Amino acid sequence: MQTNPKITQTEVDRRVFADEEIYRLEMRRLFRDGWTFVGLEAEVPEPGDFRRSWMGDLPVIMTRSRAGSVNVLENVCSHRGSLVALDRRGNCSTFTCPYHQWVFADDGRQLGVPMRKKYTDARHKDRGGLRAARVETFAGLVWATFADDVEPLAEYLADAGPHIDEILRGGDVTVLGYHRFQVRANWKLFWENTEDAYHASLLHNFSQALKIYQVGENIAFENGHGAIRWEMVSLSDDAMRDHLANAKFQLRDFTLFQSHDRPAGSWNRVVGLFPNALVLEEWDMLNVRHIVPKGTDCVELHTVALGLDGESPEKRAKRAHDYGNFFGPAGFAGRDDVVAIGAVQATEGVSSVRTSFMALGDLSERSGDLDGEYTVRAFYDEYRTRMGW
Amino acid sequence: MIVVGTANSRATRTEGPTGVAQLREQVLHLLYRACTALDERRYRDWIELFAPDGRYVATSAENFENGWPLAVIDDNRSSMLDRAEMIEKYWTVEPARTRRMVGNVDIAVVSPERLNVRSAFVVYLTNPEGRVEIQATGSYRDELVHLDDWRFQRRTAVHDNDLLTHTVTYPL
Repeated sequence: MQTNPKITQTEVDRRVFADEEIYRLEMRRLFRDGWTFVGLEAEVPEPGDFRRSWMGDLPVIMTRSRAGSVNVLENVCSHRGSLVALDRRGNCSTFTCPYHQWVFADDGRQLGVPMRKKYTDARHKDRGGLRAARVETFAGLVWATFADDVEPLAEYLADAGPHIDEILRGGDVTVLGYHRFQVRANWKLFWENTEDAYHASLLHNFSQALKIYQVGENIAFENGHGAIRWEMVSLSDDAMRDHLANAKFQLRDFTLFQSHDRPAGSWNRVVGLFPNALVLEEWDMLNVRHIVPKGTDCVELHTVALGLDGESPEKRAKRAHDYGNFFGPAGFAGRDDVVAIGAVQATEGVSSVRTSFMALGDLSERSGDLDGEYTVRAFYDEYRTRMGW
Repeated sequence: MIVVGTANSRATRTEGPTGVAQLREQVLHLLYRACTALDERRYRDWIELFAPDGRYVATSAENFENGWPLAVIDDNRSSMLDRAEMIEKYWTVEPARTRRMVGNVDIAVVSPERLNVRSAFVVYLTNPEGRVEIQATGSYRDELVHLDDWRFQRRTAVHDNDLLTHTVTYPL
């Protein structure tokens, strides 16, 4: 890296989307030295449950210990560095490395090494276990870091906290399934796309034809977090037919834009948590997206669709149906987002457009109209600070 | 390949070698028509291969095997027609070609008017630069009903690649 990339309030040097050295620095400074989203407690409800995850590019295992706590362990054997857990999820009391059968407890401690007595030097007999991260949870979201000096998680999440606590009902949620898809784009582009309401009525031009977006707010919180929200309009079937009668798009299956359980005046909202989590509730669609970087120009998005504890199978089926058909990789909105950010990445590092531009809205404020770029500016301001620039 | 069982044919007798062979031809004909209609971007023709109350689901092996309801596409006739409008008027559809191959067809007769059919599929995708990639591979689990001809009462496309690496515009 010749010079540090320049990030101002309204412009971001596009090298941050393409430069290998910057990427490696991100993995350390953002995904090891700060709080990183790893998964949901609801994914490991029972003692012994585990699932594989990532802290940036680092493979980890999220486990529910017999004591009930959630642990996040490097999924890396202390012997030769092999992945220890190969299955995506499961339930077990210990983890055994497939290569030489070294055995580890669900908190990472080493339990056994085959042929240990053949190590001739006493210093070689204890090589240590799976490195455990510091873990905290908030509203059922599991976060991890390798730093001892970062603030408690609730403090880190700041004013985003109450929003995600409301959306996730304090964590009383249940898994309805996953969408996993890969996009040939830098991981940051997915975060900003999800928090960018400017594009919502433009890229997703069907939404204008349907008239489903209302006036709302775009709010930047501390520490790079942000939210976009607008009042949920949910109509009866008859009222929806009347509403759509004047719309350009004569939508036949309009259950997506209806929620009969949430009170009128509820918010539809998308909360972005720095650096890698997105929490959404729109009508009956409820989900958490985990952004997993896979290199400068590749990202995987792992979304878990959620229902609430104690709901009927019918309600859960509706939530899953609505989320899949709207936000999934073949969804009304989800599909176009992937096309759009791939088209941005396609020109990184090769064109005369050297900065990404984000000046919409009142630059002296931290919140404003829904389509202002407040959240995106706050994300890159935090990014610049955390990267030490 | 001799194709029998076009429009207006009746449910075939399944007894005897001739009946079994005829039934197989009819089922293969439906499976092939579904592939070709989508590869040729005749999405509305594909919709007509379903019973009026038919349902199409595309979902990952991960969700399917765990019994989770989340799918990539979960359409009835209404949402199939909404999707047609999205494709025709609103989505940016990349100029990629697809080629669907179906095989390993296994037919179970439930009744003279009902069949359960399981098959394997691969969807090849050739991107605008000319590179060939695999968009999805998996199995179709079909429930067929005999109306004017064999139609999909329910088609579930279970893709083995839980991680999708391309957008999904048309059904798998």
